[in-house]
Amino acid sequence: MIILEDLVKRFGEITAVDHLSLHLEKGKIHGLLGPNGAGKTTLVRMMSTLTRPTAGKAFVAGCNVERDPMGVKRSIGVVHQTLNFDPELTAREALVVHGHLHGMPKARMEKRVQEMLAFAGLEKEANRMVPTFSGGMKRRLSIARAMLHDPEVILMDEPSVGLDAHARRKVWDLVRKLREAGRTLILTTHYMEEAQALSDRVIIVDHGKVIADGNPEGLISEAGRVAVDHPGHAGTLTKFFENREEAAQFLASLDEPATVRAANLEDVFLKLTGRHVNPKEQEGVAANASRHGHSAARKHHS
Amino acid sequence: MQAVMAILLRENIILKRKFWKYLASWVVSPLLYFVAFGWAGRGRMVGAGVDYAAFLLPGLVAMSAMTHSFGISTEINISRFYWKTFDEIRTAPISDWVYVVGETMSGAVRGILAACVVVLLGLIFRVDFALNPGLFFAVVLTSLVFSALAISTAMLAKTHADQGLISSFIITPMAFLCGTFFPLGAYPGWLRSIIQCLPLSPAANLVRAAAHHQSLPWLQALYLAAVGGVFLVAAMVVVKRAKD
Repeated sequence: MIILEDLVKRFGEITAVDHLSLHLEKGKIHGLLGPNGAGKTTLVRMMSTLTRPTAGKAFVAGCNVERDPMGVKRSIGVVHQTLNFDPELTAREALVVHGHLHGMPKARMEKRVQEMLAFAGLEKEANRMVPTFSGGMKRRLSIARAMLHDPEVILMDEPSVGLDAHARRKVWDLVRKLREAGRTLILTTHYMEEAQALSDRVIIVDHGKVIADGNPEGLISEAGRVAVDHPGHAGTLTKFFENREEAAQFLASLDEPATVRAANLEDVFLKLTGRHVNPKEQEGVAANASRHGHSAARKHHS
Repeated sequence: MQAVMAILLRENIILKRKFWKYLASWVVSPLLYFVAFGWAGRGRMVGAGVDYAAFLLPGLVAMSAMTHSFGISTEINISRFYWKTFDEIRTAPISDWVYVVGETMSGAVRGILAACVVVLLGLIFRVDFALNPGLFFAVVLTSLVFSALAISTAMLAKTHADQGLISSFIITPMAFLCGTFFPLGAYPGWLRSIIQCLPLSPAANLVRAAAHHQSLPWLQALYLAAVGGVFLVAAMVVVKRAKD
């Protein structure tokens, strides 16, 4: 459905996407996970024809993003990171304008507008001005808009950023409904729980390169299913184990208190890069980042 | 065509929602100019026996058409940098031409409405001028030309402040120099030659000729249309560039 071949994007001296290749399959949710500045948004912008690649090729629904951008645009729906709505439009008007821009026949458009408002749970709010919406409602409207013209591929750039837990769950429900409807989804996020909860396949990106690719369970298994956080010289260290028995043996050897928990995608990223995905969690961790690789290596010996 | 209508629909919904604010802005400036300059020059004759108010009114019509059609540049700028709605347009399967034509028409609608308000003011102040198809043609052409220019400048501006600067350097000088308030005869020859090349000069001449029952200066109309064509092509080029 989507093929990226040796894709490169440079902004001056900064390389945002660095010789990245991927084959994304039809009807699945692909989570692009990585910290801010990893190149996820640039990747989505190239797939949506908003940014031109410096080198390499990208095909979306069989169309080359550079040679046939119109073909790509007809096949995609984009949920932009910014909640980009005209402040003078109602929810219904925003969808109608989008429908016209995509050349939808009037009768079909009116039917789809109603369907999509229902899909997003915004039927009663259809005639309200968009600026009066909460962040969660705007995000759901944004998803409804992306779906209006019935595209094969949906590109979502950080769909739940800035939302509270309740609003985020509602957005997740919509994303799952899209998978049930057979859509191909590419979802960028720096929330590991989001990638883990929604994705059939997680692609971890860092410094514009793919550093891990697989289903969430598989990636976590590779890192070690059980994580033990324990105090180190320069902060908390994390060590990974195949099972709870191995973790318990390690715990017995420690003098200080430690935490045992199930490993997650954040740990996968941590193990691969020595850094956290979420910058908020990086405080106090950066110092032990270089030690982490050593700690993880010890796991293999244990 | 449907996509052009989509852009027009969007702009016209915005126009409808903010109509009273727009109307106030269309009225205030020409009214002030009309009172300040028209009152000061009351009873004076300009050129071949034309009352100053009758001279001023077509100038204000042309100036309003220019200023308010060019005003679409601010809207485009805000939608690009603040509301980010330009990305929505860019991911839609529409060509750059469609976008440029849609926005040009939207800007022109505002210019035409603003010019109509000045005409109404003229009627209220009982200024001697003619209402005819020539006047309408001149206003439509002027509005289209400056609306096309607005798109180019909106795409070249990198910030809102840039947009303000562009207006200060392009629109304000034309508004005062191009025969809007006074005949060009008072300027030295070299300056007059430069001013006559600026697009508001033929626009003001066209409007004035129509308003004064004279035959339209078709060469100037052609020149203005050609300048508009150049602005349209420039708009197309900068919209394409703005994509990356």
